[in-house]
Amino acid sequence: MQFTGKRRQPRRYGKRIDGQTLNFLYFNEDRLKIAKIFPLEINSAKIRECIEGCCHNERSSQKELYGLLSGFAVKICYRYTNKYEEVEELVSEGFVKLFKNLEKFEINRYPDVLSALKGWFKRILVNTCIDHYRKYSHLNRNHGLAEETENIPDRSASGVDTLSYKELIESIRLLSPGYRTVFNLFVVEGLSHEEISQQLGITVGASKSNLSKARENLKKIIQKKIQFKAYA
Amino acid sequence: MHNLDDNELDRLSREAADLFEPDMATPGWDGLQRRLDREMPIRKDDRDRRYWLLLLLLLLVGGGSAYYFQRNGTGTTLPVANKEAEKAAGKDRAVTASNAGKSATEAAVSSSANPTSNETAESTKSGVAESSARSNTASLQKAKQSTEIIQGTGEQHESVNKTKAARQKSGGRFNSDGGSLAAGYSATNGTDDLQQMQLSKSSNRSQNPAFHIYDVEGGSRSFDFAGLQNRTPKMNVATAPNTATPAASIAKKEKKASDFALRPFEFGIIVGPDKSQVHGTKDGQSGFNLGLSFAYNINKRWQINAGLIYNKKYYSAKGEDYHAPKGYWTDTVTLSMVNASCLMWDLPINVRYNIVANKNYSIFASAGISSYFMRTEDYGYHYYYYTGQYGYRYKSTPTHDAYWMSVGNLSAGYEQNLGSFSVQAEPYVKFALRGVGMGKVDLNSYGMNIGLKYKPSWSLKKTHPRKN
Repeated sequence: MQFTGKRRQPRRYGKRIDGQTLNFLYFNEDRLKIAKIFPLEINSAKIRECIEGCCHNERSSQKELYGLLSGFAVKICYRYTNKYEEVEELVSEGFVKLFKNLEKFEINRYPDVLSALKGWFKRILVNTCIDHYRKYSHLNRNHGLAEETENIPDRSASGVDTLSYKELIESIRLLSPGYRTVFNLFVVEGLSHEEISQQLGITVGASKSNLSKARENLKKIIQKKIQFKAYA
Repeated sequence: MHNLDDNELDRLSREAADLFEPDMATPGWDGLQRRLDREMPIRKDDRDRRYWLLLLLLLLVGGGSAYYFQRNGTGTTLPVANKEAEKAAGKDRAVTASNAGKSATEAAVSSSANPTSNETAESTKSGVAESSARSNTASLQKAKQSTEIIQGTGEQHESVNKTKAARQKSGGRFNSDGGSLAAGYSATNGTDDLQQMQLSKSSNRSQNPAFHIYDVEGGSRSFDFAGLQNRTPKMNVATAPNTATPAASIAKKEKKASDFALRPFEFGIIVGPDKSQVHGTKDGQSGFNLGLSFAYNINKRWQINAGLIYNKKYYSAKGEDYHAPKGYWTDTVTLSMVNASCLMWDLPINVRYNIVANKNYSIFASAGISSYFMRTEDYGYHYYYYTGQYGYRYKSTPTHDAYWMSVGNLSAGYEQNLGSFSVQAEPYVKFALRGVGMGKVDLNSYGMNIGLKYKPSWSLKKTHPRKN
């Protein structure tokens, strides 16, 4: 079976709510789920009020901001670890850092407060993930493929031979921590090898080497997945 | 083998990272909140303390007023034990004054007996004795006048003549200062006619405690003019204002007690504004209280009161303070704020203590519990979907839920007596003991009740023993 690079485009179900905000529901081959919702209009004043409340350490505002950004935080941290409990820990750590430093966020500097806040929060989360990796890197010296990658189960409901986003992300998560971190930082976050080497405390050559091996391993994992689907 | 190159893999990975939503549920807020409480503790809101400070201030004002009135001896009805002690202290003071007066009188007598040493004797008087002698002189003058009024008997007339003779015999100057007058009149004390007069009234004397004091003195030559005035109705009683006998005061006290016993119950109406809040939230709208009250006076100080009050309360609650029942539609959203207006019946039961219990007014503090009986609950929900979209929904729900003993009451106030009626102003604070309403919110209230009360008199019929 040949991987054609064709991805299943999610079917879009347009739904108009309140006549103002247009949300999109995406259909995945596994099940109907909310994949991405694009609120065209977000109450900027409410977010500003929420941020100001967080600056005053008000729990209600912090809870509101948490409800607004928790999914975003999980999505980022999910790629940097393959354990759910670690994801929760990273998310909590990221929010604590956010609430502690939110007063440094210049709320009047950006016209789109939410986007600016998300970008700022993303940096916090990535740094949290990097700190977590550096903290436990001595426990993860094995750069080979994880054992489960040798026998990847096909959890998809159908035997579609195309690769979904979920499968690709799950494949990235199966990489070893060193490879996964370098791959995420270089490919997804867009950091250079110099920056990665500074962040992780490794040499530039090691960063390049890890990236190359991460890609190689990722291709192997994807090939295994496709083969399992073909035989299913 | 597929021809997936590095660039294609990177592009797919970036798209997947942007668009993929993990299956895992977002971590719960509770865990993060516990961590925030540990690392970023919240300073206690000062607004919660204001109510306690206000109540403490009211209690301090009430207690201070009570202390002030009791110290000045005005207004407050003292307990019987205190009164007895005060009477005993008054008697001691009277004895001391009589002794001082006696010494001054004796000194004056000696001075009158020896006119040559009159100046020296006057100069050697102590200040206390002099003042006491002067105070006694005033009563001596009055008593002298009274004695002259009743000088129908020959003996008294004779005693006055003896006095005049003694004054003439002394040969000294006879001026109107206290020492001379005391000397002149104390000379009459030494005569037998007044002793006979005292003996003739011995039966009355035995009933008058004031005479007992002077009898104890044993041979004292001082004269109890107050007692004389009391036992002789012909005398000018107005000159002795503090001559009320203990029997009269006891009778007066018994009358007061009987008046109090005849008015043990109180009925009234209550009206007043009410402000409510949940954990310090603000709501500009004020509710109201309107209801009936009933009270039973256990004694002068203690009272049990109850009421049936119709309440309209407006309040706002934060999303985390509103705990809707499980399975309610609010489970699917993140509540931001809930605005509520509720109609309910309030059944308070309080114990009241009169800090100042006066005939005209009372200052009191009370504490108790309230039960709420909901009638209508109107809620306006402000919420966010998990996507960040804002929403609002209004729900009006007629309910008949009862929340027994869900609120504690603390109050202090002032009551002005107007005969059978009384008017009172009672600031209060109600604090939640448990959640009330659909959202199980900790509803705290404060306000002021203005009450008009009626105290009916209850004439108790005497039960006659059955005649066999």
